Amino acid sequence: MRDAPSFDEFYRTTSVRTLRYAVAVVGDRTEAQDAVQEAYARAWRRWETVAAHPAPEAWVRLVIGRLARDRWRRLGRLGALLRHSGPPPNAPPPSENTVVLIEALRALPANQRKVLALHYLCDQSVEAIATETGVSPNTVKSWLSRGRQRLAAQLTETATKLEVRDA
Amino acid sequence: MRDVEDGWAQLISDVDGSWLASAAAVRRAADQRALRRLAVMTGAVVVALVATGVAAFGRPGPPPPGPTNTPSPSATAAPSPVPTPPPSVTSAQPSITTIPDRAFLVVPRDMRRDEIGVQSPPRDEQVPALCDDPLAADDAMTVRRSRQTYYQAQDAPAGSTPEGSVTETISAYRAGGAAVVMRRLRTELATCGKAAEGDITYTITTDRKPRYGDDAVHIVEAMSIPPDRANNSPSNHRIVVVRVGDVVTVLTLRPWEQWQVDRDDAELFARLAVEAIDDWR
Repeated sequence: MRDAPSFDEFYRTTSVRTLRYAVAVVGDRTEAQDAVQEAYARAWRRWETVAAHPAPEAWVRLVIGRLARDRWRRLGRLGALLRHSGPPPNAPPPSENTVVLIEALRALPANQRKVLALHYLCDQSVEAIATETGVSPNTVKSWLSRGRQRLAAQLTETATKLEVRDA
Repeated sequence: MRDVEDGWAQLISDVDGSWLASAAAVRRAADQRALRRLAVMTGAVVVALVATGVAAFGRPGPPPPGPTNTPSPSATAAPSPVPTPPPSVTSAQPSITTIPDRAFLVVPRDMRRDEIGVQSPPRDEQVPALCDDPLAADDAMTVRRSRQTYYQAQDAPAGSTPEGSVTETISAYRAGGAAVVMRRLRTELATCGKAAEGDITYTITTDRKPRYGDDAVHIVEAMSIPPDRANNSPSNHRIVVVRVGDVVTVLTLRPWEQWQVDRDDAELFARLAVEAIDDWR
C-alpha cells in the first residue's frame, strides 16, 4: 500500500527545487513544469520503491533528464489530466535575465548543463553530483569549469543576439 | 546580463513563483492513467480471448432447423461452451517476447566509436560464465538479445585507440524469474572466487553496488595472464548486472588490449542502460 502522506510531504519539500533543475535542463518553463509533474507521477506509481531509494530526489531528477532527452513524447496525456485539476494562476513572465540565462544554457552540452543546474540551483556538492551522475568528482569539476566558461561566453553572445533582435 | 551569479539567483526567484499542481492532483492523474492503461490491457486480453473463442467454436455449422413437432431439447441436452471468466485485474503482465533496439544503452556522443559499429556477439559471449554460468538462459527466460559497442575515453584525442567494448545482454523473464536470477548470481558469487578460461585465471570480486534499477551487482574479474603474454599491467573486466522489473541487463566491459576498465565508465553505462530500459518499459 503506497503511503500518500509521505509522498505529499516529499512533493511539497522537493518539487520547487526540482522545477529549478528542470527549467535549466529542459530549457523551457512550460515543458519543465510538465516534466516535473510527469516525474513525480512516475515516482508515485512506484512510491514504495522510490521512498526506499537512498536519494528519491535524485531519482526524480534522473527521470527528468530522461524526459528531456525523450522530447516529451509521453507528456501530453498527463498534462491534459493535470489541467483538469484547475487552471494555473497567472504566473508573472520571467525576467529578462532569466530568459537570457535559459537561452544560454540551452547551447551547452547536456552534461555541463546538468552539473551547473545541480550545483547552482540544487545546492549540490561536487561529491553529491558525482554520486548522482555516476562519474568521478574530478570529472564533475572539469564539467563545472568548462560549463562556467562556456556559459559566460554564451551569455555574452545570447545577450547580444537578443539586443539586436529587440532593437 | 553581466553577472552570472545574479542570473542564477534571478532564475531561482522566477522559477520558485511558478505554478505546480498539488501533490494530490499529481497522484490522482497518475492513478487515472494507470487505470486507463490497465483497462486498455484488459480489453486487449478480452479481445484476444474472444478471437480465440471464435476460432475454436465459431466454425459455421448447418443452418438452424426449422420448426418441427418434436419436443424441444431440454436445457441440459445441448452443452454450451463453458464461459471463460474475465481476466482478473490483478493478473500478471504478459511476458516480454521481443527486445527492441531502443531498449539498449546509447553510448554518450563523446565516447562513441561509430566507425566500428554495433555488433551482435556470439551466443557464448553474451554473458560471463563466472564459475557455474549463473546467468545462462533458463526456463523462465522468454527472450534474450545482445549488442556489443566499442567506446573511447571522454575527450580522447582523435586517432586514439578505443578504451574498450561494452556488451549489453538484455534478458526478459516470466514474473519472478529475474529475481531468481539475481539470487542465483549472488549465491554463485559467494562461492566463486576464481574462474579460468584457457590459461587465463580470473579473480572475482564485487565492487560498490550501482544505485540504478531494482537490484544490481557490480562484479570485477581481475585477469591473471601467463607471463609470456602479459604486458605487466593489471587488467580486468567489469560486469554490472541490473534487474529492472522482470528484465535483467548484463553489461560486460572489456578493456582494449590488456588495460583496466574504469569504474566510472561501468557505472555510467549501467545508469544509461537502466534509463533505456525504463524508457522502453
